[in-house]
Amino acid sequence: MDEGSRGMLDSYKSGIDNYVNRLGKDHPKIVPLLALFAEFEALGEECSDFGALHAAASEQNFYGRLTNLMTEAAMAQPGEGKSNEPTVAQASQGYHAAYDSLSAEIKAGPTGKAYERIFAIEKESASALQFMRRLAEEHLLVDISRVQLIAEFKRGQQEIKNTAKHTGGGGISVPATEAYLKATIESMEQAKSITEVEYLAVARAEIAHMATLWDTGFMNSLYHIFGNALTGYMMAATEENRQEVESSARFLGDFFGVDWQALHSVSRVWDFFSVTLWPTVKENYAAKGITTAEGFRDYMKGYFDKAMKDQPPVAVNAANRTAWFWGRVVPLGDVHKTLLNPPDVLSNKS
Amino acid sequence: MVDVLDESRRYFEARLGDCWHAPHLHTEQIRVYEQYLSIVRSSRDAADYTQKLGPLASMFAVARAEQLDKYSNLVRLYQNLGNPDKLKAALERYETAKRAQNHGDLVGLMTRAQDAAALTEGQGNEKLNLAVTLLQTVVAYAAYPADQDRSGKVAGILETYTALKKLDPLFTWQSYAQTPYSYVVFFDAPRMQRLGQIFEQVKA
Repeated sequence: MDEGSRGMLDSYKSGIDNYVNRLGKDHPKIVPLLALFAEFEALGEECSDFGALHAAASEQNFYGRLTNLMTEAAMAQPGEGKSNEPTVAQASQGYHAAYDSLSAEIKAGPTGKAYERIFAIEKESASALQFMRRLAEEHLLVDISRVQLIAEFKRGQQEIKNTAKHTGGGGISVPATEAYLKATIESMEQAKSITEVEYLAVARAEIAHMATLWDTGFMNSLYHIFGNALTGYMMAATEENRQEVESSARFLGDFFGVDWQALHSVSRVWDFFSVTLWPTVKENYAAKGITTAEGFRDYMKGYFDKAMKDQPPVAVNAANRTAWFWGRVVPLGDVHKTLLNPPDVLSNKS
Repeated sequence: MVDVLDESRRYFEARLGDCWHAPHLHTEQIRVYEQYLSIVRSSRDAADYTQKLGPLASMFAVARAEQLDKYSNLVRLYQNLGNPDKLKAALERYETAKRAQNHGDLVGLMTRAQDAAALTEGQGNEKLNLAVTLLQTVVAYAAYPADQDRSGKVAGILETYTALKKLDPLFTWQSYAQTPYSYVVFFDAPRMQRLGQIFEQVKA
């Protein structure tokens, strides 16, 4: 039997088991339910895959018939000497199974603590109903979904900070991702339901995806095309490479309104330059006495000046020293800040 | 002896209270929990309550309400973001959840809908990725010396454009002014228009 079919049968079985535990397998409402489920399982064995099982089950109305019998079982009174409710142990069974499947690391963290609280309430509860009510009142149902996500996002924040330590060189300059992690943690800490957690996770990820794509295109156009041309010229000072430097610098002057100094004053550019580029190459320049990002920038400027020697100065259209970000004009100097705090495109809409 | 009515009332009130924290995300769940609460409040005792619950005892109504809220939230999200592919995928999931009549439907039908929707979503992401790449290839062409061989740059533009057109046959340079493509644009309209002219020349 394929995984999809087994998963669906197991899902039904777990629901049916609750009624069996409560009413007993000989209860008049349970006997036909178990018999029908056995037929359903046999159908699963016969069918080649989930699609075939689903088609056959729909045609023979297994879903409808099982639901009817399960509804009757849910409404049935237990036999003499039996309680009408599942026991606390039965109600908490799923949480124990979920806890057992967690790694030791997760058990030691906030998720483990949420489960420990659930198990403490289990011991204090007189009935399954009371147990579930207390989990709901203490928001533990949503906690076991969100606390792990929050922990993972916090770990992501830490990893961004520690990248340079891990690589021994360059860090990563990802303001859109930093903004995503920060905003998601903040909103998930406020969330009160699994629906809210799920929605926030998707909505924030969509915004981050768009912001990251925006930043990729922006940085490529504003810095990487020019930076790559200049690096090529630094490695091989050919006329062809020189022309590439000149042409890309003229593009920057025209489309972004920046010359050398204005370009390196853009905080988004300087963040990439000082956090990623310089630490990645700094070992190669120690012998030349260059020890800072500023020193490296000035060293590159020497090559830029050489490339532009005897050429007309770059025409700078300062009116273009802006970017277009999600419907608004942002000065280039504010782009980094904007990526760290993107406009909430969902506000007043969601 | 546990008071079934009181415990049930407090349980549904707690769930309902959580929904009211962000009511716009929980429209269906609020409706269903209020229905349960109304039954609890009108019941004399546990036996009366069980009887009045009828088919609601299976809690299928809650499971379906959760799915309906989940996907109607995504429908609204993608409407707001103006992303037709992801909107279509969310609508497929929403309609599937709406059709479900029992727990089995929810499990079975949703599994199938998820696969189809994931494919549509993947295409939506790919379109945006290609739109960013196309913009970058046009910028790279514009920033390259006019006297040098630009055939590699031209090939990059045409290859990306062809791939994008395959996924979105209606795509034109003007599409950058509309969502979802406008979210990846970093130049204002006059600069985009200049790049658009370069693009049209290359394409011609």
